[in-house]
Amino acid sequence: MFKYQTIRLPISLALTLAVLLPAVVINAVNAVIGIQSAVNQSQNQLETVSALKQSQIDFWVDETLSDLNTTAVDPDFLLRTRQALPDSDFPTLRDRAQQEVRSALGAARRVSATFEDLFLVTPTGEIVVTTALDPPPNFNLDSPEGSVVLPPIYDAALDETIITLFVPIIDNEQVIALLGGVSITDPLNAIMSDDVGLGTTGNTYLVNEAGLLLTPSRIGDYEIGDELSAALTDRTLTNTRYNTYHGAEVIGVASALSVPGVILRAEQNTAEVLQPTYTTLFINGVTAILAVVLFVVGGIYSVTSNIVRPLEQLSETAQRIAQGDLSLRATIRHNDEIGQLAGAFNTMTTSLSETIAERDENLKTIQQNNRELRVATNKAREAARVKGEFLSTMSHELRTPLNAIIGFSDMLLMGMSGELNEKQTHKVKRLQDNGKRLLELVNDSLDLTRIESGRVDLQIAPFVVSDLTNRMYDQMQVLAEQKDLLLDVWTDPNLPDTLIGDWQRIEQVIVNLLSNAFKFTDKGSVKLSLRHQDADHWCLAVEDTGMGIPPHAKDLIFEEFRQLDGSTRRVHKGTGLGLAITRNLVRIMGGTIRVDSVLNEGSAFTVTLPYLTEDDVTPDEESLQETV
Amino acid sequence: MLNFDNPSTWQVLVVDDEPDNIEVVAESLEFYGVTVQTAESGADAIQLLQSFQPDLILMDLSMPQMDGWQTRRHILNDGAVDYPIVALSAHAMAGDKERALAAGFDGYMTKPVSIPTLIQDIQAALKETER
Repeated sequence: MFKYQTIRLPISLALTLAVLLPAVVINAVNAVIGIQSAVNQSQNQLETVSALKQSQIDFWVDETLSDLNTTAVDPDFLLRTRQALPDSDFPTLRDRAQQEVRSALGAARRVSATFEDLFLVTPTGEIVVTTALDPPPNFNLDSPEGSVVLPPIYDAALDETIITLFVPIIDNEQVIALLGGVSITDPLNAIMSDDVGLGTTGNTYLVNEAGLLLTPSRIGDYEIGDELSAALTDRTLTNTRYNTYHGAEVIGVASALSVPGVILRAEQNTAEVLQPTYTTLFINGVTAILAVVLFVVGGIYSVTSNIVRPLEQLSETAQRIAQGDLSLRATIRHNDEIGQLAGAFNTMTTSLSETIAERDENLKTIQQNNRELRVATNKAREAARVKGEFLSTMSHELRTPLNAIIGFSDMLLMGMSGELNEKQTHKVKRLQDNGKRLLELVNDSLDLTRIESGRVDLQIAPFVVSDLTNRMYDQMQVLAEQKDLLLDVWTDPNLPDTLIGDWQRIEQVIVNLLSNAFKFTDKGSVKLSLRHQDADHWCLAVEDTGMGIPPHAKDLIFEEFRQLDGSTRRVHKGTGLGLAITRNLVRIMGGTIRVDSVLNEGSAFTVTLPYLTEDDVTPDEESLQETV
Repeated sequence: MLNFDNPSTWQVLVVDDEPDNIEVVAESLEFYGVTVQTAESGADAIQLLQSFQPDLILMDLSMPQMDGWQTRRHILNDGAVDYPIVALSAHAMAGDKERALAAGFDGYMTKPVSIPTLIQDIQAALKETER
């Protein structure tokens, strides 16, 4: 037996899965697309910011170079420079010229506060004049034809990033020297610190090829000159998410500047970039979960109210009907499948209750019939008892006068009252014969009535066949001799020596048939034979060479008081009950009787009886007493 | 005591309410040499037994007032002698004989009697119950 389980569970599971699965997929796709889109958007933003700052830096570099150039193209400065150079045509003027160049540079430096130092170098970078107190080392230049910007470096003494720029000093279309300036990078710092469009974690900074931070960091406790991750100098580290120097995962872009050896990096924390996306996704997720929950709850409610509850009610109704309340009907709420089921159920119940009512009616009729049958049986039994009593009384009352009739006849014939003459003897003999015939009739009538009313109890027992045949021969031989007939008795060797049956009744049948045969045979023989017939039957036959029976009479002879016709009755004495008794005896022994006859040649009566077994033997004496 | 094989020594009491039957049986027995006394009712029989001690009683069963069964019981209860009593009855239905023998009758004969074989029939009836 299965454990009871409500169908709510599987249906709810199926519903949940059906709703949850697409929700999860949609949200997951949304998440991937949303994150990707947010990252892309952030990169675009960072690139825009980078491009803006790049152009600002370029502008500053151009301006700075332009400041230098203003000095470089001054004719007076050009003159002094020519005289100040080591290979000047006027060595005597050199020192003075250098003094003047230094003061000119000093003046220029004062004009533009950008420069930390201004100096004059040969085209190969040899220092000629400097405004610095401690002359800087020579530069390694290769006679450039235009302006030169050197990679910015961190100046530990200044604790600043400095940048060195050169513009050519041209005389007669020839670069005779370079005017160099060391600029502090405050403007760059300002540009890089501008956080417009960068949110709270956006950060732009410059890093040189050695991996040193060149501009202030907006994030964390970092200062210019701090050594950052060398990986940040890798230009290919761009358009991607990586962990930057301050440890956070960022989305960053890298771009080169017109200033050599420097990379501009714009970064924004991934967390900040994705925050809105995550929020949206979270809201979406919560919404989806709420939708799923609502849908499932609604679905379960719908299933419960439309399917489960009606089914439960139907089931309950069915159980109560099964307990016997056939007047109950299922409630039909909607004309849907369940409604139809309930309808079909109701039809079935109606049909069932009709059938049961019909059955009860039949039962009543049967009981009534049984009662009537009992009454009828009792009546029949009573009638049979009365009939038996009547027969008994009649028998007694007939025998009493017969005793006198036959007795007195006997006495007269025996000469107890004196010798009778021939006529008297004849008449008394007739009187005696008729008395005896009347007695025989009384006996046969009683016998027949007893057999017909089923009051004969067969005494089934084993008997020896040869005993029976010998007895029959001895008994009937007298009749044969009287009519000068031959009596032949034959027993089939295949017949068992001992048979089981009521030998007295069998003997009665044989006596009746033999008497009958002798009665209707005037010459020839009468033959009694006992034969094995088949596995289940044996038979006894009585054949004679008598007058025979016409075909139309074959059935009539077994009826009571029938002999062939009125004329023969006078010739053949007998009550006419012998064959009727015989037929009835054969019947109650479970056998059949058949007659074959050819008119004027003879008749053959064949009685077929079943072989009985030990099981059929009548039990014992005591139970017999009760049936008497 | 009844000398079984010699009827001429027998003393028999015949009890029957029908005079014709008494006449037939009594005269026939006398014909065979038997000494016979008769009674037409049970009461008469009991009365008669005061003065007559038969070897055998032939007793009809259906009699008015006191039937053969009652008469037999009276006779056996009253007297000191255990008379053999044979029922001689017109009751010839199945079971009649058996009932009588079971009740203690010493033989059962049905009417009508056959006079030529009367003695043999009485002997046979007695022999059947001989123990």
